[in-house]
Order: sequence, then structure tokens, then C-alpha cells
Amino acid sequence: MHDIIASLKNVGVFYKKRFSLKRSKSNAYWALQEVNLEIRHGEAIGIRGHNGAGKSTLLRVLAGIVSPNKGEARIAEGCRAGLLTLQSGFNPYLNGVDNAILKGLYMGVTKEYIQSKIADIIELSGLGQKFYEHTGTYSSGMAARLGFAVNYFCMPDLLLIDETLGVGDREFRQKSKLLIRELIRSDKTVVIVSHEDEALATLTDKIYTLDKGVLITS
Amino acid sequence: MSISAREANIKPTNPSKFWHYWELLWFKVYADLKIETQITYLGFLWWFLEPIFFLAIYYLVFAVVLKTRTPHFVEFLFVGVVAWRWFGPAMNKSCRSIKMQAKLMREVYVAKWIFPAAIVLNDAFKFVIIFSLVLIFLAVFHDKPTALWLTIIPNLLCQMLLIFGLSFCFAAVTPFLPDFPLIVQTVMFSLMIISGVFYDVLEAPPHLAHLLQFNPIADILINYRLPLIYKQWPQWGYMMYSGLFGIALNIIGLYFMRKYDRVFPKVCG
Repeated sequence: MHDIIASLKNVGVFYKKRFSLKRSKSNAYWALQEVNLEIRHGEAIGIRGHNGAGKSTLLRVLAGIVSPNKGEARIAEGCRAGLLTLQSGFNPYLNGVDNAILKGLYMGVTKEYIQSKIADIIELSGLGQKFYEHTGTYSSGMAARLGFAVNYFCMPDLLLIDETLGVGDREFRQKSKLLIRELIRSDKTVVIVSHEDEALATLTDKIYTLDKGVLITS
Repeated sequence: MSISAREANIKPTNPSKFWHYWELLWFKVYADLKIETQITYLGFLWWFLEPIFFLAIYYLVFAVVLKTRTPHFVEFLFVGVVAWRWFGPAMNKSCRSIKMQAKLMREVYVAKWIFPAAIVLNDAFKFVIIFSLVLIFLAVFHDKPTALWLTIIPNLLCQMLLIFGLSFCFAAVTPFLPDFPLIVQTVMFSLMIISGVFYDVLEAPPHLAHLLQFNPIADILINYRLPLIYKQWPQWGYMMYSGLFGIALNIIGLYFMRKYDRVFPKVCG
């Protein structure tokens, strides 16, 4: 079996609803409780659950964005974990190049590397000369395409996908879906959150269900 | 789709953490400055026009309308106001620097010190422009530059340290205490008054002057004015004090930045 690249042991995460001088228990709620999960290299793991079940929080813990309040979250050394985010992080007053570099840097790759991939990003996003214009002039579909292309070339080692987020126009959604499928089938380690049980069943090796912050093996 | 998933599997070079953040920090500073030039018609010209406007207003009020008799008062005022303007606005912006990035923080892990640091460097760039204008003004209307002017370099570094330190501290507090920027605004105003932007702290009665010099910002202003306007050596002891104060603030600020690095995304939600 492959190496474990991320593991969660008895992980609990709580959020405070709002800042208050009074300390009361009702002010905090546990988004994740006693979550145990091991992710091995090359695995594809599916997570399903209702809205507010803690899916996003789980992805954030795996991405190292949020530290657990209880338990332990470990990611293998040198492993970049990241959420696949498409539309955000672009500044409307910067052109595609600057935005791509900035986003790539945030995702943990070097400027030099992204600059070497500019031509590929243009090709994959299908933006052509539009790439050199301010992203503020892009349609939301174009922005999503740029986001996807940058993500694609700055791909983290542990890819976290929230498929419940609608992205771009229908054609592009179809395209990105295919690509996500292809990535899952390849060597990538993927954790995918989705509403589509059927898709999860065919694509992933293991499926878990999150219910009110508790992770259950399906 | 012409590019296969396998091609994308080529792993981009993974630099050491420090170099990576260094690169990110400078690119962010560059990008933010570029954005500033894009959102207005006059673009980067504002970096010159704005300070010239406000210096002109101070000149009008103090030299023309009030006809201040104190010798070299205009020079005194210009140095003080310009040095202060690196503190004031940077503090108010730093307070909100982490909170403003809430969306980004929830999607990707970024070391949070990057955000206030980028703001400080952005303002440092603009400070260099207007400070150069003031130096040119002094060279033309006051006196020829002397070797003494070089002593402002360590003072600049002390000021930089203080601003970085305060920014880290302020940025770390605001996500937990939404009222904090308002407190800072009030405190910064009082600080401006006691730092001697408009009057000479050294002319206060000795015991009071000594007390006022506990405030490192007052020392910074004094140590700009002594060599630039009065052709005197700076007060090295106080310069060292302001530098050490700055280092201490950096240690405290960075400690909290590190401690709450992965907590900020939750509280900023």
C-alpha cells in the first residue's frame, strides 16, 4: 500500500458564532467531531453530506488552512495540499498574467514556474489575447476558466475539490468535470466533496458521509 | 482538452519556505502598487501629487496664514508631517490587513504575516517618494546637504522596524476584536499629538521632554530633524531605544502571527 500523505486523528474543530465578552457554551459549535481519516498517495476519497455537515471545514483542515481544536492533523512533509478554487483570488485591476502569478504564488509554486507555463495556461483556458486584459473585463465563465487553468498547472499534491460549487458556463463545467475525473483516475491524491452519489461511487475508492460533523464510513 | 492530466503532474519546483514567502511578498507589493495605478485616472502621479498637495496646505496654514515666527518652522513641519504619514495610515490599514483577506485565507494556506508586511512595504515605497521630495526641498531652500544627513539612514531603519512591529501586533489583534481599528484610530491621533509633529518636544520643560521621549515615535522625529535641519548629531541613545523598541514589537507581533496563523481563517469568517 502507498504511503500515508495525510492523517486526521480524533480531529475536532469548533467555531465561535460571534465574538462576545461573555463565555458561554452556546456561543460555540463543533463543525467536526472526532474525525479519523487516513489518506494514502494516489487514493481518491469521496465525502458526501448535507449543507452545513462540516464538509468545507474538513477540506480546510486537510489543506492546513485551519488547525483543529482537538486531535491531530498531519500532512506529509513537502506535500502541498490545496483546495481547487476557481473564481476567487483574482483582482479585477490586474491582467491574466499578474493574476496567474499571484494565484500560483499563493498556491505555493514559484513565479518562474508559472511564467514558464503562461502559454499552456492561455491554451487550456482558451482566453487568447483576452489573457492580457484586466480580469475585471472577463465574464464569470472566463474567470472560472482562468482559475481552472492556473489551478491545473499549480496542482497541489493533495487535491481537495468541492464539487458542490458551481463553476463557469455549462460547457466549461462539463470540460472541468471530465478533467477532474481524469485527475482522479491518474496518480493524483484527491478528496472530493460532492452531492452526486453516483459520480462519487464510480470515481472514488472510498466514500465517507459527514453528518453533523461526524465522519461515517459508507 | 489537449493537455492531459499526466502532463500537469510535473511537479513545480518547491523552493524553501523563506524564499517562497519572500517572492510572494514582493510580488504582492508590486501587484498592489500596480492596482493603485489602475484604479485612478492619474495613476502613479497621485504618489507625487497627494503629498505635494498636503505639504502645500500645511505651508499655507503655518507660513502664510499664521505667519509662524519660529525659525525653520516650515522645514521642521515638513519633516515631521512626512515622517508621521508613514506611521498613521500604515497602522490603520495594517489593522484590517488580515481581515480583508478572509476569502483568500479560507481557500489556501498563506502565512498571515505577509498581509501586514505587504502593506508596510507598499507605504514604504510611497514614503521614499515623498521623503525624497522633502530632502530636495531642504537642499534647495534650507541648506546644502552635509555628511550628517547620512545619520538618517539608521533612523529610517528604526522607523521601519517600529512600523513593522506595530503592524504585526495590530493585524493580529483585529480579527479577534472588531472594535480594535477604531481604538487604534483614536490612539494614533493622540500619538500624533504627543510625538511632536507640530511642535518641538525638546523645547518642553526637561522633565516633560524626557517623559515624551519614552514614546519612540517622538525620538524618530527628533532624530530626523537634528541632522537635517539643525546640523546636529542625532541622539544616538534614543535612536537605539527606538530600534530596540521596534525589535521587541516585531518579536511580540510575529509570535502572535505564528500562534494564530491557522486560527485567523476561522475568526475572520
